[in-house]
Amino acid sequence: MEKISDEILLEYLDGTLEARETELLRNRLQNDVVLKVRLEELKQADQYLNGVIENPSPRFADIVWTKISETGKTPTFRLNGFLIVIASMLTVIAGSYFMTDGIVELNLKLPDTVSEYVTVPKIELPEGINLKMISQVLLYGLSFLILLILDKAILKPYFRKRKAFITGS
Amino acid sequence: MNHINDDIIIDRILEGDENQYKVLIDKYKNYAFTLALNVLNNREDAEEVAQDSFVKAFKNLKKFNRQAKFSTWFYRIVTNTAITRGRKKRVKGIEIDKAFSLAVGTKEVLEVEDQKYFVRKAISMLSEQDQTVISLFYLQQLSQEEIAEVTELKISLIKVKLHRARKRLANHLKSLLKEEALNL
Repeated sequence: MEKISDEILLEYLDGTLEARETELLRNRLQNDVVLKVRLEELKQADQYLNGVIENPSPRFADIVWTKISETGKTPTFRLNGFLIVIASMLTVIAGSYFMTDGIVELNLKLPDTVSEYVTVPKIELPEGINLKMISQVLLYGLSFLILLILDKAILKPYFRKRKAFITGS
Repeated sequence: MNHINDDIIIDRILEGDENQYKVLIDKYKNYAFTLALNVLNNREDAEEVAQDSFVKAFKNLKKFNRQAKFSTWFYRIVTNTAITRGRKKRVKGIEIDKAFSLAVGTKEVLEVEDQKYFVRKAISMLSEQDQTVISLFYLQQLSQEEIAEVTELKISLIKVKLHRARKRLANHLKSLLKEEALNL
């Protein structure tokens, strides 16, 4: 006798089994006690699960509404982040500016006690290399990078949030 | 019919009558909570996930295209939020609060609570994906197509998973009930 699979039993329970197969199964169920037990077990699981709908706390809807209202508030400007970026920007620009002269001269002076033993080679740059210009390009590049970070990290998120709040999306 | 009603409510919300969202909250809160609970197995987490899902759905209501039912779209949000939370917390032990089943109540109430307890325990023995699939199947009698839409899995795979999960669930329930009978 052909074994009836659980898939067929489940389809029978769902009412999706074809008419002919349903008829055959019903006939088998009349004489096959083991098959009947298997079907009952699956049926019991179905019945158990169908009746289980849980209830959240009574204040559920109020809490959701409060959360929605809270997230809809005007985004606050991140003053701390803004100040940190401005301070870093000024520090880097000032530092770069004061370092520029030292780099351009390339005049390394060691203390006398050390210079007795160590000879500092005289560095001569090939003609045509404008070190001052290079350092200024780097300085402006750095400033540009900082402004870019300021835009991406602070300004854009802030205005995006503000726009979302205004449009309510 | 419900589909049409939901669409009307959503239209009103988008037109500015945000209070209408409370109707959707009332309508779907039990399902959202049950679905999250089946995945997370922890009432507090499930409640928070269900609440957060409602907030997310509200915020993204404009993006909801009406091709699918609101419930399908919303259940996907609940499922994803619950799975993400579950993975973060790695709550995998069967920490089921049986206290509620010991609450003072009528015999019928206790029987229902016991039934919930066994179902919860049996579901927790399934894999994360099977838990989701089985919850969606029994929750609101979602069709296999709808379950596939929510879980973003193929229908053929849903069919296999559903059969397998239901079989496993029946076996788990059988052994749990047998165990309980022996302890009585």
